[in-house]
Amino acid sequence: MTSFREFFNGILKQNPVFIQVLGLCPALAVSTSIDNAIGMGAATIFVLLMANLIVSLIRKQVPKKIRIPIFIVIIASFVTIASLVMQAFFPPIYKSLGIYVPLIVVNCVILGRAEAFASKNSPIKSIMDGLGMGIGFTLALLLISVIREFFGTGALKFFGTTILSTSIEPAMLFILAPGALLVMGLLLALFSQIRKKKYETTCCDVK
Amino acid sequence: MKETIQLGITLMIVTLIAGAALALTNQFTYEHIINNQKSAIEKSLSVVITADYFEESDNYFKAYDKDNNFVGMVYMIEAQGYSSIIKALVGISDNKITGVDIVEQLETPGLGANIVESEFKDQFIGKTADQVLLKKDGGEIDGVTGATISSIAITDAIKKVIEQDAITEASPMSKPEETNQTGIIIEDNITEEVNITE
Repeated sequence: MTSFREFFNGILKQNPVFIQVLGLCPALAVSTSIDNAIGMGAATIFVLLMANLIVSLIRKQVPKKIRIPIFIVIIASFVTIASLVMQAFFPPIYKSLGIYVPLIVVNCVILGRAEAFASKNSPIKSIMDGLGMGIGFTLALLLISVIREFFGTGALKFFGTTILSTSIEPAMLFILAPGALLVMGLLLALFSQIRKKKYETTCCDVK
Repeated sequence: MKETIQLGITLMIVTLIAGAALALTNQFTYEHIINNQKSAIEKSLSVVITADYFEESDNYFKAYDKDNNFVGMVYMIEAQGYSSIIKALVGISDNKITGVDIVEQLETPGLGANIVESEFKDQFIGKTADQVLLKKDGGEIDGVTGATISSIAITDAIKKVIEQDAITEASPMSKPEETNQTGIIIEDNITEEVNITE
């Protein structure tokens, strides 16, 4: 049951984007719409889960000296599989994510978890860690993209259907690159503020 | 030395397994991917022109109705947009546009990407070469708000293709010549068949 801790770790306490500050390239680049965030998140969850599982299964057989190339081969294979499957069954999402699907290979969340967690822990724990981190990454992407899409286009769309719209003149800046950096910066500040407060209270409770 | 070889062999085994897994996935998805591409183009073709079948060439399609009458041309155009190359199909019949469909684009979501909306695309229907210009340049097309570059890119490309089409259609010989050509091809087939039976 302790593996549930690994699962929730990735979602909040160790959130890959806001706490570990990993995988920022895709988080900044594809967070322009909710659809993109979900597509990217799903692909990342799949790759993270599978890479963690395989790395953990073969962790005792992998020679230390060549562990990184082996991890990269495993990750790259799963990314290619994910991209082929997306191309075959979800072509619209694949098209809108474009170059960022193959770039999942260099998403440091994935190599980071393989190296820091899966290569030292049991398969079950690694699966939970992969799922938690993947969902944490997806939620972070969703949060950023909801803010950017809403303020940048004045409406929220979910796979073609408008779920929320306003008549306020949209601030185009949010949908463009500077908006990504601004939103990311503000959210990072918010999260570290929350963490700081939490740390202070837990420290004093213990005393 | 021995260790190096051992590490090399280990890595080779890993890549071999990975390669086999990828080959398997490719086998499984290949047909779907090809079908998707085909059906996407077919769908776009039916949007831009009403026809029963198409004769495909390099970057255009000739459209025919069910009685083999030539109804129009569908051109595949490409234009450099703001952040991507925009690919679109343009249907032209009698020097007028019958429809435009954006096949591929990676413009900014919420701005340039709005060129795929029918609000923008459907403006082109029924327009002649002179009318295909943004309103600010004296034409009849409303650009997408906040996406001047994407709008100009696609409008210019459509203008170019309809002007080109007008040149080939305008020369009096070209159109009948085309129908003659197909006629000749059919005759050729027949003579060949006759030869075989002989």
